[in-house]
Amino acid sequence: MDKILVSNIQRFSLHDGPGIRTTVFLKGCSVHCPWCCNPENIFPDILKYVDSGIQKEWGRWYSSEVLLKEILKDRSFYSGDIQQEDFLIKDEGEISHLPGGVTFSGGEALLQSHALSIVLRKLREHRVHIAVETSLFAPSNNLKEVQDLIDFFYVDLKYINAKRCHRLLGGNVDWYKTNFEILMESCRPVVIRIPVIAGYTDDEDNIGELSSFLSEVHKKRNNILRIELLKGHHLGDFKYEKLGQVKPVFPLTDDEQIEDIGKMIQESGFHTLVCQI
Amino acid sequence: MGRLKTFIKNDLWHVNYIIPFTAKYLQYGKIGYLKRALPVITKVRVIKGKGKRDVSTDILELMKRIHLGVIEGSSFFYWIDEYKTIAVKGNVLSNFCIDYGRLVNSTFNEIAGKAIGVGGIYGERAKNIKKAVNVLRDRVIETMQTECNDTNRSQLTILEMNNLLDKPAAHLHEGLQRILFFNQYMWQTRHGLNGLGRLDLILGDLYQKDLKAGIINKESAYAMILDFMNTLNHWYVFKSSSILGDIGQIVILGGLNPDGTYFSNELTYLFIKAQAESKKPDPKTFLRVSNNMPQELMEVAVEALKSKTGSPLFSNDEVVIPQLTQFGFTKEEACSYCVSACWEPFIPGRSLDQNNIKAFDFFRPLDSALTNADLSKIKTFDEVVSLYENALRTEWKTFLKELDSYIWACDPFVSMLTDGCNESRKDISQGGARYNNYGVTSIGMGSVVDSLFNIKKLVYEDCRFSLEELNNMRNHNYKNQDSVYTVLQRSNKSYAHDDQDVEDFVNRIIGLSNSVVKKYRNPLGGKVKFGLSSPFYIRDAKHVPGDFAGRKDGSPYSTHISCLDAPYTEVVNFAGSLDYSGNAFNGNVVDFFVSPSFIESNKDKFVQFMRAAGQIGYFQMQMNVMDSKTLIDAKAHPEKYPGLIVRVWGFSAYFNDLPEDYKDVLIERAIESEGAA
Repeated sequence: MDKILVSNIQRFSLHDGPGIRTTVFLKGCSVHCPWCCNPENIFPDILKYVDSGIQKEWGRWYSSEVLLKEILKDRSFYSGDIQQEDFLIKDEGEISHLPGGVTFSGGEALLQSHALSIVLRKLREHRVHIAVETSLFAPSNNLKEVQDLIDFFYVDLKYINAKRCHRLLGGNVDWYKTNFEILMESCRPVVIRIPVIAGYTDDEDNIGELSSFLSEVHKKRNNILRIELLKGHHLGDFKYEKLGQVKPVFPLTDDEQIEDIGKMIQESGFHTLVCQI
Repeated sequence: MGRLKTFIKNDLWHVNYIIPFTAKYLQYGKIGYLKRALPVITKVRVIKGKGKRDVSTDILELMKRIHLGVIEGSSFFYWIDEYKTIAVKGNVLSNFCIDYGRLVNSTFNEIAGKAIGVGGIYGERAKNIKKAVNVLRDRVIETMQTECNDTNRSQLTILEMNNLLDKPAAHLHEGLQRILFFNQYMWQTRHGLNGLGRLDLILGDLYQKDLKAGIINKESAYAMILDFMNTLNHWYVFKSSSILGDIGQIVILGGLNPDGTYFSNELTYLFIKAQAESKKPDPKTFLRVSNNMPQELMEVAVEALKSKTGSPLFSNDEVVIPQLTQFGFTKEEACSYCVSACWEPFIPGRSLDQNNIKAFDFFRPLDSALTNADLSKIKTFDEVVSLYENALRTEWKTFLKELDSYIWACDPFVSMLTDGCNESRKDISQGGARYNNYGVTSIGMGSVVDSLFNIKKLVYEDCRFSLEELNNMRNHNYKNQDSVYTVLQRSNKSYAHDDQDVEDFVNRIIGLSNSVVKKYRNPLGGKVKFGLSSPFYIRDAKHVPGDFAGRKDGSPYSTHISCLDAPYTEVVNFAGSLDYSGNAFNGNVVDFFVSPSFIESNKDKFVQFMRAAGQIGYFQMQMNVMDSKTLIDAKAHPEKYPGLIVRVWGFSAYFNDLPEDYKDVLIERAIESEGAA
């Protein structure tokens, strides 16, 4: 079926990849991070809610043609075409030279990769730079189906410990590891994003495990351009209210601590950057 | 009301001179107005010339009688006696700029001589103006000799004044001084909203010459320009037109040459930087941009936005110039365009063009059509549109007829600086200039478009109300209809969104307007131009009933080309899709709110955005770089923010000087834009 479930299309997006981008938030996610700031994107169907007395919906089905049209509305702002060498970059300094484009986020974008592949092919014809933000918790075939159509990956890294991954996210870490390996072999440029959430991911054990994992990767792979540490925030709390769900409770990590975590991660050999949001 | 205004303007000329001195206080209410205006009114004196009454003899006498003084700390001479003026029949030309290039690079005596040579009353008046300028020049010299303690400064001014009449300016400082001298003359003789023109072009050769000769370096030139800008900021209240800050001293920078190359020079950069550093709302800068402008210049302009003075305003030559040529200006004239006080393209030295004489309201015809028609008989949306279009044609015709009543004050000085007047032996006020067009601005386009699209959905697609029901609720200002009002208020807006149906519809309204407007000729034989941005989106909306898109009775219209629920790229795409051809190019400004932190942390991407936006084809763009938190706090605690500057319509002003309703609109827009961004 040619339909893609989208919760939001955010144009003039400046924080989801190089240049000026359109970020497409796809609905449906295979994990449920306790700190999630996009709870409306977890459930893979349209959600109704009431805003100031008006009935509204989160989610809309798009045909690939309509979605493509929306993405191409800002084609001129993406400022440039994707070039062959753009998906072979090995240096993080080159990121800022890439053209803008589209970023598929979520939820988990790869869950809809089959339906999305039509749009991706069309975008390739228009030479639009394509990025995906993924948790990698998706069937490997989904990744394989689209990996060659994607120019840039933002990959979440939360846990590498199987038990914690299962208990806190409801995810199978083996899926993650398998997909990670596939992605590494694809040689596509990757930025790893680690959410630093107090009480969930910021403990020494977890950071140590993530760091060891990345050290191993660093020995054999050079397509990871940098590691980004994302501070937790409560900007999505209003969405929980609208959905009638309980807001996640966690304190914000202080700057000093996140800098320390950054230093530990940097020991893996990758350049590390602390992002505010 | 219109007749009363015309009567005051045309027939009460012996006393109406007082209006420009007091109009800026109208914002303070009746008591506030009287409190502020009375002390001014009692001090202002009209100067009359000897012999038979004439504007030129009045001006000659005025120049003899004004008080002159010396501004401390400036290297320039500049003084305005705000309490001596002239009374003259008709509207004094304003909202434009004279061709300073002629005065800097040629000589005043030569210019005046040509006008005197015309003979007759025209020549006689020119002779008096020549005398008046001579008197002013001599009195400046005298003032510097007696009142300036700084000998070097005094000698420099005297040298520059000695050259003023019969030598072209020889140095950058002299060029700047000459512009100030004639700018002073303009303000003193009641011209308002005096633009400054393309100063980088006018002064570029003098700058290069001085640089080569080692007379100046980049740093001293910068200091000189900063001094020039600060000097012009004096008499801020006197110069303000309808609101404090509405001054119109706009410096035009950069721009396409007739051969398609882009003009800019080091002065372009220096003026942008000096304006930003001055941290003052006026003078302001206006950058003519093009696809082939230097990247560095756009970067400097974006950097200047961070100074939060509202400058520069960006004008897209790729779109503006073709519209000027298709209208009838030559390529060379089109490429020399400046603007009236805000954004209306104006060709200096060639035209009378009075570009902001009235505002057309696009929403009023919808209001009147729905009030006068039997709505129960309207069965389709197409019928509603047709009803609107008929009312729109009628409204335009009535509106244009009212423009016939304007008469202009005799202006021998501006005439001698404007092509066509000597040749036709006619004063500019009598249609002597090569071009004699009028310009009008417009309001309410967003309101009518959003209203019609809401009517289409709610009445004809969802069938939630009948047109009659909805209009009744509107007529009662949605009293006891909170839920319906909320639906209308929170409905997604259509205007300024890049939706093909919306774009087509707006172009249809523009096209229809063009079809009526293009037939009009004013009494001087000129045409009329219109644009989609206007200063009057608050003032003129105060007596207009509510719409169908969340605007209640008397509430402001949206600002220029803007909307509160679309990202910047979408608004630019929309602006780029509009048809500015025909007569629809009298300023079309996209107006954005941008938070300071947004520009601070995304400067490179913002530059990218501006370049791409230019290619898409917006007409003009201005930005308020401000966050809502600051504005809210400033409204509550004005004492904490004496220097807070905001962009209002086409000018910048101190936030504390604004009427409360203007403050509220700015706060509301800042909040909404933060949500959308």
